[in-house]
Amino acid sequence: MGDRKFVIALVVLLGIYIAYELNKPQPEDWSITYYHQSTEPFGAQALEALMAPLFDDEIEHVYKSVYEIYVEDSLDANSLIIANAIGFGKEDTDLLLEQVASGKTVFLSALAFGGVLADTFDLQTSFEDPIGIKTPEQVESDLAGETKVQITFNEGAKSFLVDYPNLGATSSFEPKASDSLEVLATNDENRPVLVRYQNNGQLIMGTLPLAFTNYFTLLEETTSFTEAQLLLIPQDEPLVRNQYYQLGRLESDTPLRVLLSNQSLRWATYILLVAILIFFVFQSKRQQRIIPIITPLANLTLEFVQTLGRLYYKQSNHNNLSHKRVLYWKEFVRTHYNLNTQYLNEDFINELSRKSGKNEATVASLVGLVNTIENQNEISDSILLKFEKNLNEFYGIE
Amino acid sequence: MRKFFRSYYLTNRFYQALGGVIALFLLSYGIPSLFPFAEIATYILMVAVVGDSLALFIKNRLISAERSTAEKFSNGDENAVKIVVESTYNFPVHITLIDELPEQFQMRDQSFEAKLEPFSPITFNYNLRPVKRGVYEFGVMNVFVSSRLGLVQRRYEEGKNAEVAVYPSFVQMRKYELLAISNQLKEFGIKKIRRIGNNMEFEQIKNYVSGDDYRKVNWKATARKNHLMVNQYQEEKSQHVYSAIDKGRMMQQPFEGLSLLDYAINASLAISNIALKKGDKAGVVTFQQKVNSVLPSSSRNMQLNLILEHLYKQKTAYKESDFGRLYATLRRKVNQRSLILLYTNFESLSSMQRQLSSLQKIARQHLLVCIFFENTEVDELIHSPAKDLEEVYTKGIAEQLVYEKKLIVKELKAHGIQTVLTRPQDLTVNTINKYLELKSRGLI
Repeated sequence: MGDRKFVIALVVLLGIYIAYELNKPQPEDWSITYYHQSTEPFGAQALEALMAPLFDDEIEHVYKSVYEIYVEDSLDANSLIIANAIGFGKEDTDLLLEQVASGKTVFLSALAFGGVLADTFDLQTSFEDPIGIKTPEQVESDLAGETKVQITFNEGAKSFLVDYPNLGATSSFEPKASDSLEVLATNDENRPVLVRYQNNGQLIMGTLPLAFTNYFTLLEETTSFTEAQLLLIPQDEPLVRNQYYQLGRLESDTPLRVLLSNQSLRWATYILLVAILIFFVFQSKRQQRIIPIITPLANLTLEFVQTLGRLYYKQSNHNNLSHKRVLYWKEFVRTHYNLNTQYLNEDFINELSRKSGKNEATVASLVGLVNTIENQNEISDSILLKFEKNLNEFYGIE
Repeated sequence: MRKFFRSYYLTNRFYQALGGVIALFLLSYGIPSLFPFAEIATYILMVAVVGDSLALFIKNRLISAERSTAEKFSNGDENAVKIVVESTYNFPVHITLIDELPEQFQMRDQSFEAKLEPFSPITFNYNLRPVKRGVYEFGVMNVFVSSRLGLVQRRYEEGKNAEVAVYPSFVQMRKYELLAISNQLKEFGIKKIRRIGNNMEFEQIKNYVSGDDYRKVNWKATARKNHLMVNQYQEEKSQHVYSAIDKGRMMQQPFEGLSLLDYAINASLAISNIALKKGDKAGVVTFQQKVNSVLPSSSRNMQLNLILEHLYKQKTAYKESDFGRLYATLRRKVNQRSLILLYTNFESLSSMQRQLSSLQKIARQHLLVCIFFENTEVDELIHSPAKDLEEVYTKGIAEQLVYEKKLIVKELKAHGIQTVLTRPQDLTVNTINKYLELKSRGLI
């Protein structure tokens, strides 16, 4: 009964704690995700809302590498990649350029570019990630601060200025970019922040990915720049937003991915998991009542004798011990062979060997040892061991 | 529903089948044409499990099991248990029977397997050897039934909790009774038993056998028969035989699971029985730090039952025993000269010497037999060669232990006290022999 009360109290306390944790005001999460379902400042749900009326088709979201999209899934659409850092290898770069050559638009926006792609266009980014190292409070106060960067957007007929909070525009390209690149926007140090490479299609690279976050999309001064960037992508063609380079393989990122991707293995895995579950549920049932453990009485004689033996051994009084053993032996002779053990002489040896059936040399050697032990004050190790050997022979112990 | 779950078990074969299906799927990864077969196998397995469950569970109470045991168990002996199981399923079933044994046995792995045809009961027999007196409680019998498919098991919990009382060994009592009366104990014991009494009530003339007292030779009869003939006299009857059982610390030591105390209790039951059969009066005294109980000697019909119940009830805290108090009680309550069989244990000469004065005082009034035990635990040690000096020492100490017991016998003998030094396993035989010997020598 007391147990039940205790359990109820525990459950109630746990319930209260959970309710408190759920209702407690959540602190603002200032980590950068660009995730299209995140309403945190640096998520990108607002971008969805902004894009929806601009584009004819619905935006598709994937979480796969460039190689997987173009080679395995042979995707046929424009693509938008927003991430903190982008560094494509040779194969990916070739694939992207192929896409551009075939008339597609690829929009990359990242704080930093690297790898073969950057090398191809001789792009270098001066890169800072102040948000990663600042505390949430610092980020918040910086955003509210007065320091601004002026971004100049200049594409064809369209041209305007935007005042960007310092924190949102920390990254830019080195000005000496290759001739094949067209500069679409610069900051107030006249360094490019948005460049375009055209070859049938277009490859657009920007260094202000934060422009696509909820915060800057919704900020009144900066929303025009976000929109202008999106308008560079043809609106009548399907667009795929690839979030792999910021979030990774969102849905199937489990060690079982390989097992689950094949039908046979998937069945095997599921049946195995079900089998384990069944095993736990059914094999954990008792087959008979609980039998409490009762320790049986122990006979400690052996331990007692061994401890005593060790104690005597530590003192190593060979004389004392060998006398004890002689007494036992004499008692044995008296009770088993009915011999007088007062005088251990020639007659005694003859009689004992005759009665015990041991050969005379064995008996004589043993009796000799007994005499030695009885007459000597100091008994050496070797005599004691020899005595043991002779006794074993006499008793017939092997 | 809960009851259904409680009785629903899955067999190893079920898990093996699942394993087989999994293996088939793994195989079909390499050989894709196997995949449909694997799928079919899965469905077949599911159907088989459902079908098997239905066959086993659709009707209730199709298995019955009954356990029969003796009302009382005999301590230290094998006691038979019989279980009869019958099935009324209309197909042959395989059963696994797990009997819930009393916890004192500490047996958790006892199970029986059998194939059971409809309406033909099967009997399982097994033996239990309790080593403690008291009440033992059996639980239910768990019968796990499976069909020939053997994927699912149904558990039946048959029978009710049953109690069995474990009594001092009445099996040994009966066994030795027959042997002692028919004078066959020499087969078991060491000494030859002579049954002729020493008193002067003439009974018969019989042939001389070696060991007979030659003072009793009847020379006239010898001359007539040309054989040595001796007179035989009737045994003395109605002598008092008390079993005094030490319940102290030294009697806690177990040998083959049975404590020395229980050996002593078993032996005193057997000896009381024989004494009663021989027309003597048997009684029991138990003591530890004080005298706990005295059952006055008597030769009434019910005395043996009284002794049995009396011994069954004995409990002990294994305190230090006080022989002085034993003496005082005997002095007060036992007025006639009696045979006192004192079951105790001494490990060393000095521990015996501490009690010697009390023992002597008892011996002055009664015929005292001090019964104590050889320590068989060290036998193996003594009879194996020592490898190094330390083992030589251990062996020497063990020999000393055995030697001291013999010294105790001598010391007691020197003070006119009879002794029995025996292995615990031979206690009953040696005690009976001693009793018969003392009786025939007319020492009481």
